[in-house]
Amino acid sequence: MTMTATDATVEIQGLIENWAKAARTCDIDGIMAAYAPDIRAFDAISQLQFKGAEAWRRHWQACLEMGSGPTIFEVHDLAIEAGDGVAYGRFLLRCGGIGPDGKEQIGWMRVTVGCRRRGGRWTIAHEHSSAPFDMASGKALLELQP
Amino acid sequence: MTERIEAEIRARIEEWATATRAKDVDRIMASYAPGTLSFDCHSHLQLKGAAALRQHLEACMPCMRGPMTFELHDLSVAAHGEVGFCHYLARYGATGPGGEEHTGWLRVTVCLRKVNGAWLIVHDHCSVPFDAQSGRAMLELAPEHTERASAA
Repeated sequence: MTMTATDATVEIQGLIENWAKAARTCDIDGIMAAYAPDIRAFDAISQLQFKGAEAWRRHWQACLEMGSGPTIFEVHDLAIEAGDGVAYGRFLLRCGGIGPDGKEQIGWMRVTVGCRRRGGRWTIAHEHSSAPFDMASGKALLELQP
Repeated sequence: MTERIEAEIRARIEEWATATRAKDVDRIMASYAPGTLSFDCHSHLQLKGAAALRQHLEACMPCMRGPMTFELHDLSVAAHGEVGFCHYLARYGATGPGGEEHTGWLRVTVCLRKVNGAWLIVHDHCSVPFDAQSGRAMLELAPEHTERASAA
């Protein structure tokens, strides 16, 4: 995929970096600042979809309360393609934390974001995060390495 | 202008779905750019390039017997100029090699680019959510579960 270092690409990189930083520090307002009010999200866990920032915020809040201790939330292999007001990005996310048993629980997720520019700034209008599953066991494959 | 672009992208997605229902790998692959990168719902973290995707699809197709259901629901398209993305829910149904029925819902995101006048898929992402406690893929979820939970 060709990536051009346009202003839009740089802006969207910044948007994703700030979003990831907010996730690492469990800053719900910082996380939500990245999203459009009419976000439609497909998250890795719990539900097929979340419609609107309010439902999405409740889900994020519940996720943040699940973890304890330092949160690992690293963006890898980010690729962005930006047009005039519409863009998308994809990356691999290394995420996890310290579980209730004191053990580090880390897995790799795949993330795709659809972005729109409204009112002079880019926001995430669609997010899709997931882990693939194993056809035989029906379980999420969290241990796959890039 | 935007309406025309959105119609073109919808046509591309419909064509891809028709090819999928026909289990026609060549026809499915005709919708992809050579450098496409896919996040599919099972087995692999990512599939880099059209050749890797084709190999994956060719491995999947014999696992499905008889007619295949693949319905697009709630398709939303955003596009301008030569870049677009869309997302939808897909209701699928197929018969496994042992005669067992597989039905359920998938979430699909497709990112496209206009190349030489044609919209091609440069990235797609298909998945099912999993249960955080058990680690099991939630293959039984349907859209109505979402509506109830969101309204709560």
